[in-house]
Amino acid sequence: MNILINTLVLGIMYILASLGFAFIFNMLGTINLAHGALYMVGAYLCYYLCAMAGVNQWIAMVIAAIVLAGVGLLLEKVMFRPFLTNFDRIVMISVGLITIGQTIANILTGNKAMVIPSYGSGLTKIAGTSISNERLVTFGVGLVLLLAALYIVNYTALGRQMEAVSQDRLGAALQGININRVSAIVCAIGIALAAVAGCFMGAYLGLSSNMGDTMNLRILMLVMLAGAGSMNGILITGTVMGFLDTIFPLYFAGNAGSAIPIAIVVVLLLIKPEGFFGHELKM
Amino acid sequence: MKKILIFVLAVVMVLSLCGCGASVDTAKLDEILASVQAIQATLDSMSAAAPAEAPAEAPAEAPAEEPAEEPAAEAPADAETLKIGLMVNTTGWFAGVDTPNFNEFNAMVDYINQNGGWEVGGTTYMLEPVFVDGQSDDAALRTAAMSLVDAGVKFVVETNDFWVFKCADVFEDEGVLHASAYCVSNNIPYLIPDNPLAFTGSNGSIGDLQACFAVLKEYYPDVHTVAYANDDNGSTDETYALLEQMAEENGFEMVGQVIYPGDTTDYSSYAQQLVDTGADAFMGNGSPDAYGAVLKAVRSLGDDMVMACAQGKPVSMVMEYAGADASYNGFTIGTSTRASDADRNTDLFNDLVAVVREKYGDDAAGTFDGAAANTLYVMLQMMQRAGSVDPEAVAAAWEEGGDVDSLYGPATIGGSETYGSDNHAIGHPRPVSIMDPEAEDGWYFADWIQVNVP
Amino acid sequence: MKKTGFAASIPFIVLLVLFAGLPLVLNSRTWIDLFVTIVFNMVGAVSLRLILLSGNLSFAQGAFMGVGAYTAGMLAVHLGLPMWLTIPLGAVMATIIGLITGWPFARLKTVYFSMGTMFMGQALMLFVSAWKKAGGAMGLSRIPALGAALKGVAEGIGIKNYQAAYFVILLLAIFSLVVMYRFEHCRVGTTLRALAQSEEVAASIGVNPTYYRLLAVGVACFFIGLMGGVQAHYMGTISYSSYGMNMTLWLIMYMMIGGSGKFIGPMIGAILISIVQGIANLMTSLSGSSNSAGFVAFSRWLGENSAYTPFLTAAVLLVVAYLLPTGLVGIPDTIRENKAKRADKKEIAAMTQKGGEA
Repeated sequence: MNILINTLVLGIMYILASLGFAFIFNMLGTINLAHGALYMVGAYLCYYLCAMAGVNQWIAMVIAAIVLAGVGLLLEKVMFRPFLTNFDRIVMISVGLITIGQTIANILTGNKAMVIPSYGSGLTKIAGTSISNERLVTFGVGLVLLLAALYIVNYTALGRQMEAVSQDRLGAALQGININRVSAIVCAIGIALAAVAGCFMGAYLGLSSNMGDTMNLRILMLVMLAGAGSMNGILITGTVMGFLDTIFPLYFAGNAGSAIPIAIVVVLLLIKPEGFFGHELKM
Repeated sequence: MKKILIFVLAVVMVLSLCGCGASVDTAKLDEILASVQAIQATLDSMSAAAPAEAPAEAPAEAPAEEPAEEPAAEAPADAETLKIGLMVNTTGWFAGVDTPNFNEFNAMVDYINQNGGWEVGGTTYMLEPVFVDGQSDDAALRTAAMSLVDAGVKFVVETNDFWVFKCADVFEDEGVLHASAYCVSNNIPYLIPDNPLAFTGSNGSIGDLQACFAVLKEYYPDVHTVAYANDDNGSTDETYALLEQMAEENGFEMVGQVIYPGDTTDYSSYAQQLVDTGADAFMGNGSPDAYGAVLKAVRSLGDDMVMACAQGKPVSMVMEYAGADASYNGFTIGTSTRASDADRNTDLFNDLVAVVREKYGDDAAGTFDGAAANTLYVMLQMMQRAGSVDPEAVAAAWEEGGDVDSLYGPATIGGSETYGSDNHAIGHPRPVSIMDPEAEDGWYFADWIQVNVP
Repeated sequence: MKKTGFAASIPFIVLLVLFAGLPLVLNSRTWIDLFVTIVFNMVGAVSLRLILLSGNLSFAQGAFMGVGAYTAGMLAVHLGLPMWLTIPLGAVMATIIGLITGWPFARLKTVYFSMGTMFMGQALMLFVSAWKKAGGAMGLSRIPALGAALKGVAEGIGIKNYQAAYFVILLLAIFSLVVMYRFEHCRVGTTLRALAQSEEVAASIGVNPTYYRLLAVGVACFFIGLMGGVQAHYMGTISYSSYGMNMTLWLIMYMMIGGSGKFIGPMIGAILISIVQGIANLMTSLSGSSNSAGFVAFSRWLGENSAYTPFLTAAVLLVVAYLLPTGLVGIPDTIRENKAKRADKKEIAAMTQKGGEA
């Protein structure tokens, strides 16, 4: 039972963090290397607000989400839009961002306990086992956000515009879609979601200076396994990843617990590097 | 952005001046230094408004931003300076553990200098701290060690043994006496005959685990079985064997071990393993963040097992990570810096806490542990015993053993049976802080326990 | 206007003289360590550029250096093989793993190669951290030291043993750089560039893109693996965390800041940024022999604030990204271009004026 809960909580958080990356990958055709770093910055910002400014953790999360949404808008304007076809420059800027984010995390590590106050307290008994309310809240809110994102992608006009832009940028523009606006909104939402995931994970597991890298790795795995253009595939790969990350540490001590899920993913990718649910993407 | 540009300008200015050789106009350099600090101060007050980068630069990371201490404040006429190196990790994953070491070491240095310096063999020395950051990375630590050696430092207080055994040769080759603030294992090749100048100034995990058994015996009569939970420091199996011995001597039984990687973020599966052992208590040397997270996870599985944290960190730190709900049935061998408990501590301890509080704030004082400061204190006493500041002489004095004073009360040099080197370690008293939701702040200070490291 | 022949090799000769001569004078352990670090970073950044030439940006170079280091280290510690065997074997292993992990992604779009390598690189180092034989979380120690092995030779010549180690490393690095330079300027290299510019055109004349991309990866991995192997013996102890994403990102920064257009670009970038990275330690070590209190105070301040230096490099990177996309070595070209542009503008203005008057 605990395995199920853990899987769900981890899975939801991985998916939330990866959605933004997937949006950018599908729509803009380029990768946001700094996604993991932004996730971490969101978490640290929330920590800073809670621990040093005494803000309530929910308000801090909202603030972090808004700030990071702003960062998303900024990035779209100054990084993605001008250099869409020039991968090199995007990499340069991303690497700069990652370094800045990582340094912020390194510097803010200090005396105070590196946790964000829990988002739920107490225990609830479900089906005979006690589950911490924090996990329930995390899962619940995460699920709501995920459903909202999916709704936007699949059922709204914005979602259809996103689909159009991801299929053919020029064509979509010719059809009268304001591609800049769509890209901007999508970036903002995506990165804000990552920030929220960061806040939850920061409360659930505590902050660490390598949480950006660890999450980046998971995001890459999720998105690559799912394949290009597949939003729904991420749901599946995210849950699978959550499951693997829950199960293996139970039976293997130490780093082996995290290494084996990754080994499995490596093998899968060596077999099918273009992912399982996306569309064809040969050169 | 601006701050960065000023950095660059300052660096370029000073480097170009330095290129002219050692006989540079001191006054000019001091001017530049002052102006850089002034600019930095102005920028600090301005940067509160800036967006994304502001959170990093504005907050009070007092430990990292401390400007360099000017040596020789009001020193007696025949005062000389003694450089003491500090090599700890103030950035990276180990910074949570080492930042208190940084704070406390510097506070100790300040305290000694404020009280007229330290007298060795008829000369009074003002202490000059030389700090290098290991960045929680082995290669960086090695380079940091080299730079200390080149800076002419002869005595170094350094971070835990599992970090510094890798660069011990740098110090040994150059005859620098280096003492680790904390040794996590007797199986790590640090305190070995190959390193005649390696010492430690605190109990280490061996001494602390013994203390934990003593506490369990006295305060938790219902506990009979114990599980070992620790981060993977490469010698957990050997420590477990030692624990089985210790447990038997104290009337307990070890029923299993759960080892997690040092940079774990998700402890839920490890907590599950602990619960599965069915033990009454879990014990180990985990850092407050790790143990707090483990405790939180264990409690959220509905288990009440006792947490015995063999760390000198205040129990309040563990409680912060665990959350209020989980903070019961547990203790650490951590200090209390509360005013109400001040009469239980030595005067030196209280004085030092006051210096830390003044220099680095209440948070730093609240997480007082003292490992690095105590190591420095013992090192200085050994210098007095040797009557010299020659590392070899001090090492010889240390090896003579006997009693020594510590921040925590009277202590004894030891370690001949536990480690490879004779008398390179120490056994000092340990405090006991117990979690209790009914008590003030959720915990109370029980007592001091005498610990010997044979 | 491309400089050819002797003029083109002047910058390299200057660098060679500096790297061979300075360490004889600036010979404290910290200085030599800095030189060694710069040399490693230079070769690493140049190898990264080699892969970039074929149109792909690899995010796993740090990990491959780690593969070289760990292979050499493990062979030395567990099998007792001598250094002159372990180091090349480390390079070979890095090549093999580079090819295996690069192959599936070399057939796909650039972006996918980058993502794939990013993932593979981190995965590799995670495996190493879980492998008990490789030392696990503690890393691998007690690797026979290069300096110690050269003690006899060093004393004979009259230099310190770690200086001797440096010169061995320098020789290997020169070898690596020369080979990579020749590789780039021979037919294979030109083919690579053609590939990067236009895949379809190259394919239409019978060039197999995947083969050439993998060739670039193989060569690059060999040399960075070589450096890794040497590093294992130079440091005596290695840890998986040094070869993770951090190292890869720094290598990318060296290359981008220096400029990925020319061979010497990554080298310049590596030199400059490595110095910035190591400035705190360098200043601390220099403070020992300095007489001025201001210098000492400044070096103490640097030591305590060394955590902020990555902000500096990130800022430089951003400046380069926006203003100097061709990197620092591209500055002369950019200046020339701007001059030419301004001259053109003047001409046009003059002509239009004349036309207007007439």
